[in-house]
Amino acid sequence: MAGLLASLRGSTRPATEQVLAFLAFLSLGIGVGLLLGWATGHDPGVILGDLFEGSIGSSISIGYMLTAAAPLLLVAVGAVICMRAGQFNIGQEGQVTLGAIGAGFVIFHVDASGPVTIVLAFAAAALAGAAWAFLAALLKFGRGVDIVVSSLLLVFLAEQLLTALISGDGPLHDDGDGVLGGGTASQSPRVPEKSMLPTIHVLGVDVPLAFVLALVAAVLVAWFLSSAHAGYRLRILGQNPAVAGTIGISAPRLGSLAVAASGAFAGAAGGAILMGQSFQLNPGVSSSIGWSGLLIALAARTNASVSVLLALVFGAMVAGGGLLGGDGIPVDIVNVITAAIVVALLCPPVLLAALRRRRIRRSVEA
Amino acid sequence: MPALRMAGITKHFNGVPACFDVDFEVAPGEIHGLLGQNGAGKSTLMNILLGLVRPDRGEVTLAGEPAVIRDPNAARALGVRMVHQHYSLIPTLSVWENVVLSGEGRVDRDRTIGQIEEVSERFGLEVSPRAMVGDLSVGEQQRVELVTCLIDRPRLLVLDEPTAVLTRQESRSLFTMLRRLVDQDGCSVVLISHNLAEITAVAHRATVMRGGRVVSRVIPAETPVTELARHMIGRDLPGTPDVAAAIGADPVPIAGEPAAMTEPEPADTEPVLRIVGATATHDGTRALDALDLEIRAGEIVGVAGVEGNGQQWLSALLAGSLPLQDGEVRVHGRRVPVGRPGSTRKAGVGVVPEDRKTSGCILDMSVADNLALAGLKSLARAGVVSRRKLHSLAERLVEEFDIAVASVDQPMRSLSGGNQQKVVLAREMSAGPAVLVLAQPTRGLDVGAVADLHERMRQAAAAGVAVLLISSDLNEIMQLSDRIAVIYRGRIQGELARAEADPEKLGLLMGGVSA
Ligand SMILES: Nc1ncnc2c1ncn2[C@@H]1O[C@H](COP(=O)(O)OP(=O)(O)OP(=O)(O)O)[C@@H](O)[C@H]1O
Ligand SMILES: [Mg+2]
Repeated sequence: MAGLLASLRGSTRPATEQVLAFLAFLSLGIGVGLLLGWATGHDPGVILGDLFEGSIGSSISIGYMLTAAAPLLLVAVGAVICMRAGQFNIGQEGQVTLGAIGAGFVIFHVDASGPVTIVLAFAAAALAGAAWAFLAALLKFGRGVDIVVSSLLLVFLAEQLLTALISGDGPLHDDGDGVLGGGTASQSPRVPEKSMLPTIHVLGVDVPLAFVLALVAAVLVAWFLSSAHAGYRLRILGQNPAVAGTIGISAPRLGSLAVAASGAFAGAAGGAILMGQSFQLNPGVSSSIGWSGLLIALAARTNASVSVLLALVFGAMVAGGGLLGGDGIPVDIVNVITAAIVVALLCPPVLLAALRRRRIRRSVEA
Repeated sequence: MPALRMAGITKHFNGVPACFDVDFEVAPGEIHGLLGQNGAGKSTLMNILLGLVRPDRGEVTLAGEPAVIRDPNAARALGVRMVHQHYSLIPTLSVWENVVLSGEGRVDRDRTIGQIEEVSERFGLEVSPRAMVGDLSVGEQQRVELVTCLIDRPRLLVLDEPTAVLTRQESRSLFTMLRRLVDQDGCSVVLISHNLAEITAVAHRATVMRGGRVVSRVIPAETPVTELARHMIGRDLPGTPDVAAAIGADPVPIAGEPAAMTEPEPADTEPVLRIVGATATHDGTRALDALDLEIRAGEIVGVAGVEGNGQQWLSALLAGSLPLQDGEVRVHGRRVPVGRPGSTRKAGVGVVPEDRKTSGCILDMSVADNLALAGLKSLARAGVVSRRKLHSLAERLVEEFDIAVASVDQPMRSLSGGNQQKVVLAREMSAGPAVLVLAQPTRGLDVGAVADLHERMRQAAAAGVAVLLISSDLNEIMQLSDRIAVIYRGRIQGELARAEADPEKLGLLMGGVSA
């Protein structure tokens, strides 16, 4: 246990620097976003107030924020795994969709008690996401298709698949028993109450179970990458495939595993969305969470701890954005602010990368 | 007035001095040798001059003018250019495109090609401006780097271990060119090299560094190499033939049989490594062509040959990364499924590849991680790598192989070139291999480290390891090998026992003439 803690500290130490940079650039990003809001005729004070109120202003808001952050964090943690292994799977959006489908099959077709359904639904979600990602890996290692291309194409295929499943005669289609006009829209039935994710009451806040799971996942993955033998091998593969080969690491095998693992996390996120947020499958159920989660992982420079912070910020923006509409402010402004934050957050990595490149140039001697 | 004067230069990395209060002076029109052990601070000093590293303290004066050099472009504007040991050329571009990129001017193809041709003619540096850089040999790439520098007509040219990757011939023509450069153009040259004989032959003066400080300034032609070596290392080197060879001194005649270091092995023992009819192609060209090679336990076999005759593929084959179309590799009689990741390592073959930076280590991981790479599994319990064990292994190897590091957690990238090489050597030699393959193992090592490595190779052989030495240095091969195999166009052209080998016979074989 002590070893576990020590290795965690080891893996997060370099992050302190990043956290400081993160906070500085976060404020900068929010500032720029507010400025843009002001330029388009909206009171920055109101915007800031709403965002604050809606995200961390009350214990209920905090619950909303954590609910929104959970799937984002799950996706990001998965993306960290495959990026560290040097596998550029960018199809998380599709893997999230598949996860939601997998969870949907369990929820709507398996008759079991609530907790059992939830566990099975998560398992099915992870499995479906992993399988979808694995397809991309197969195309890469079997057919030589660039994984960026294959994983991206699978996103669109996933959307088609979902639509087919939830419309017409699809197995997940809502027949709309007794509801007026029901049975026509492309959507699933609603998730029964027993299969909704519970919350855990901590310090006056109802913390959604999904967030707890995501947080645990982030910690475990950080630890895994820094200390586990398999984590070492993963990093070696990502850093230098040639050296990895000479020490017996098979790129197709380990690479596919990493991609499948990232898909499993994205799939689990899909499950969390269905059971904790949307409570229904509809064509846009993934609501870009796959993209945002990927963005989080990249902006966090594939660091699991930094991903936690970023996921919270994204969650806050989603939760806080909900209040803006009431004040007649277009919710789009949230996207602008989020974009500004991301750009600001990407600055330090870019700066650091530039510095590092200089350092590399400095050490090109022998 | 000196062409270059660096005064009181100090640079610390994480509190550890790499250069400390260094005074360094180069006269106009001289070739100035810069010597020192691995990690002495030579590259750091020159990187400071080029504006690649900012010093904590110290001043730079160029031809009497104080100079503030913040980046290589500033250095270039002041007429200072440097050829790094690892070239920064872009392989997918042609020579002239690379030259344009390194400059800051406009893209003018004809003008650039004209300049390249002019410079290459004037200095006898053969380069074809339209050739693709990726197709060039290392020696040719170095000529491209040189031409790129010389087009600017620099006042001061810095060369960081330029001859480490060159054949003797190439080195000789490099030196002829350097002499012309200083004599005709009045350019000054700083030459970093571990080859003391070279320094003695071409440098007018030399500065010796040790542990980040200047320990002496000498006139190499008037200083015996043994004394140079003593300055570098700070103590007398033992007078063994290994050391003599390492410092490039004439081998000290030793009473009795110089070759009596290993007993000739009984010829009937089963070879540890047996390669039979190995045939492979890479990118459509023949890499290995029915190559046969056997090594017995306790034997050192040298592979000689002109660069580019399949040496790198032989080493790739034994690293398990080159699949065979025909033939087989057996270790201890057991067939190895070469081409499969880790296959040869599993069979007990350790390889120190020629290109340590791309295939021997991971620059962005720590020294400790790099030392443990091959044996990670043995450091893990229940799937978790023990940091304590990892560290104690790393500390032990750093100590044993005399690797200069501030901490084993330091990134590999920040090590000096020679120390990076030592890390790879330490990892492979300590892993207890049955077959040890060393490709150009002394590249970048200082004289002490070379002698030490040769001693270790003999010890390994004495302990029953089958050692394969692939080297472009004939002297090194003749000095260490029990048997010499000459590789030519991907096959073994002929083999000679140590007693019957002489440079002439080897030369013929290397040229493709059958023995
Ligand atoms: N960026 C860096 N960070 C930390 N330490 C560094 C860095 N660059 C160099 N050092 C350290 O400074 C010392 C001097 O390194 P330098 O590269 O100048 O040696 P060198 O004389 O060129 O040796 P070699 O002959 O092996 O190339 C080494 O101990 C090296 O580890
Ligand atoms: Mg150096």
